[in-house]
Amino acid sequence: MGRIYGRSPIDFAVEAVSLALKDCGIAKDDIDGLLISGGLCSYLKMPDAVSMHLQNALGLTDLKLVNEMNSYGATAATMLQYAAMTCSTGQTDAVVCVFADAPLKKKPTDGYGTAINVGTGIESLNGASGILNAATSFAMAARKYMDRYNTTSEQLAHIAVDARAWATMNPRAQKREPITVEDHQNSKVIADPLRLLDCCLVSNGGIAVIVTSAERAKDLRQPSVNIIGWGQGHPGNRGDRTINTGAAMSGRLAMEMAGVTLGDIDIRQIYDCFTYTTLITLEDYGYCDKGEGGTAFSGGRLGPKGDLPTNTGGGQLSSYYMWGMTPISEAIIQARGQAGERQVDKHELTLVSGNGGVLQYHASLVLSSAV
Amino acid sequence: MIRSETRPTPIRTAGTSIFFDGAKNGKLMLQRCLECHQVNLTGYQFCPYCLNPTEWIASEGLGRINSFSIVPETSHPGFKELLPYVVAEVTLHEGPTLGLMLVGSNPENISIGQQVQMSFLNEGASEATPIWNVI
Repeated sequence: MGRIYGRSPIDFAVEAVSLALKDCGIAKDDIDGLLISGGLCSYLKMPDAVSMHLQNALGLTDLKLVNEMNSYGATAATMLQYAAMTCSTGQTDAVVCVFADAPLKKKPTDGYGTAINVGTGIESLNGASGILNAATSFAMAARKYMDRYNTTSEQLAHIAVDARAWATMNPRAQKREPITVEDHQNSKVIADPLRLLDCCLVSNGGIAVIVTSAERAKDLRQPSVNIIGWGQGHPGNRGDRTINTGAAMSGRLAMEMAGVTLGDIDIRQIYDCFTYTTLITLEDYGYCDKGEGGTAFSGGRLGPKGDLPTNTGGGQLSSYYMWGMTPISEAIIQARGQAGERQVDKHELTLVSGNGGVLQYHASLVLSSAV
Repeated sequence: MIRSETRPTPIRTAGTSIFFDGAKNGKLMLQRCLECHQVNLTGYQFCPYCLNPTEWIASEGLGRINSFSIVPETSHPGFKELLPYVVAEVTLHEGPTLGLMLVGSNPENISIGQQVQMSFLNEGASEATPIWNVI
């Protein structure tokens, strides 16, 4: 993952699946389900994006489950939910959930550069109006909240600083140098009020997660991580969705299913496309009252020395941007006890979030370490 | 996916033809449901509230700023000469919310809650582009 050029999303996807199979010891021929998620390359309909062709690239035949799925950043968490559902009923034995993307190109004009999905009709007014990327839309979302609740950019800086502090201990992180609030404040404005250090990375790569029954998992090579709760909450076009997000509903449903409360959660892995996303997700999960996110999540609380360890690999802000697979991958590593220098001692229960689009879609998972 | 070196032009569809005809004539056209009378601007045939057919109606184009952002930099060549530009999300008095470029104001004088009106850029492109102006 990272600044790796010259490989297509399908190449990344196939390698990720190959590594996942070796990681757990399941044979490729024992895979009977495949769920596929692409990133920007799929959104922009680029020719080399992952697609249903992945089944053939992997040489998987006679599958009981195969779908290409899309709720944007919420997709990964929902893929794990659906895989868990089919494995728990015995409809499938082992399902691969895979995300891959390659938006970074060697020449800037080949990728994000001037290529935008303008949509048609009313949607095409975005491109015509200079609303070209998620940052501009999230900037408007952040400003609306900050204006209403007197949140400051310095408070957002703390979220970035804490994510980076975890990333310094993550060998997979793209950004490993610590940053300060001052660094954040000096970083260039991307779309006011969001600065460069409020925004997530761009990464090429792929991540595959294999889901199987708890019974089957006991005999495999790695400590299993159990999916004990899931929930979705998709506001769609609800007018206040950027302030009262889908996280409230998806988090509540996931925790109710798992039979846990916020106080039981040891680690939070939050989809942090922007610092604002971390803030509003934690707030809507219930970690503070509405509007208190600025004060509640600053002062190092989310970092290695804080009481609410969050995004313990550096998140999308500092480790890698594999959409919803970023928080899921770190959740698994921590739950297994394999996080090395950044291992959180108490890692039995993890709450994972997945934001899609500009807060139109949301999914949550509760994961537990094997007993 | 569209790859463009110039400022993107809006793209007309069958369902938004009346909107873009109105835009060329400097008029905002919105969609009102024949059944529940709520107003939308989707370009879809049916009301997104009650799923019944809609009709097009003319609008003064007045609304209030929900939020805005000042964009200082872009890699898109079509917008470089407009930098820094302002985009604003506005809710029209009739109900629909729309994000467009806000033109003609000093960014420091823009605030949430300000009243704006829609106008249209007709710069010889195939379609007119709606924009906001503070009033």
